[in-house]
Amino acid sequence: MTDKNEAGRTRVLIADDHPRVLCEMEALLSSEFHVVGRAADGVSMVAEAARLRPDVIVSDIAMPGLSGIDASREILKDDPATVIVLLTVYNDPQLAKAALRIGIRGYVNKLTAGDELVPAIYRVLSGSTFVSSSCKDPDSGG
Amino acid sequence: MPRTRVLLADDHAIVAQGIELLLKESFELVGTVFDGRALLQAAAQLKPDVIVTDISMPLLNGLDAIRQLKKEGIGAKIVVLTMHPDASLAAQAFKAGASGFLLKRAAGDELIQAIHEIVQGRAYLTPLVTKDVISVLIETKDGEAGDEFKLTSRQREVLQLIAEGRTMKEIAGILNISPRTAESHKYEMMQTLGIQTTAELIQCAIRLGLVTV
Repeated sequence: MTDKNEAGRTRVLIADDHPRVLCEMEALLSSEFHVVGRAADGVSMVAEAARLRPDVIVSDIAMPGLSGIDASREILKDDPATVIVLLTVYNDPQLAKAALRIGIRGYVNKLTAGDELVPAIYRVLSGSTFVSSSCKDPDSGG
Repeated sequence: MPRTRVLLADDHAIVAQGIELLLKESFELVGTVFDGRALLQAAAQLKPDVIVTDISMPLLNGLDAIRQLKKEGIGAKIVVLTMHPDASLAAQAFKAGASGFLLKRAAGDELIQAIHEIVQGRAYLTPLVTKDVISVLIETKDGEAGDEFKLTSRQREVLQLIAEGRTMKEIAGILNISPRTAESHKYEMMQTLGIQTTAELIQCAIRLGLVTV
């Protein structure tokens, strides 16, 4: 279980290589959370995660240099309890499954980010996992 | 057969990325723009077969952009993609000249299907609002005009920009008219609508859906 600091707001690190998207992500999250850091690529996401120790990391997948998945793998190797949510355009159930297998806790489709990202973060903070319904395997029944 | 060329207009960058990927799987995406004025320019320059557009966008909203594109004789078929499951909005979109109307939350296979339909000359309306749209269309009598249609399209353009907080000088610059002309549009509008203050004018813009709050 992640220990959510009740006194302050949940601290979030965001990562995306498109400045417009990063800006919008911050706007979407700041009503509920405290955005403490921004990264524009995978390498700086790893560095910022180590420096800031955020409660949650929200990351794109396709970023130059190190992808969001590879960056997450490195961060989780260092601290397996890190809570990471991927925010991506890829609605691929196989990719979502692979992400959960390496310890990523949430997988949110950018198309439905406006409705799903904030609830997804609350969900993963409570210890569950979250996958957008559009990224779920139709055969898995859930 | 050449791939259908599609232009996307949506001011939400995160969602736009998701839609871009969807479109690229089946069509040639020729561009993405983030406001209604950029849409007018890009449509004239890129001559897409299909335009996929949001409704609430800065500078010029999607509905007025569609009206203007149609007035200019742009041949592209237009699909409206919106968050609002609002039947009267759908009715307005079709009246403005759109060929398709669907909801963002259903975007996916439905968007691809809608584009295939309209390219073949058919209309596409999402089943999520179908029934209500038909009753709206039946209930709206010909010649019955709300505030929106008391205004000219130029007046509505000025109205949206006023509601976005722009000065008369800025508005004149954006629309390529003199500040004096912009002012006179504003006062004619206030007369038509029977209102006295800029604040009331802004309320009217919100009511007409020209801007969202």
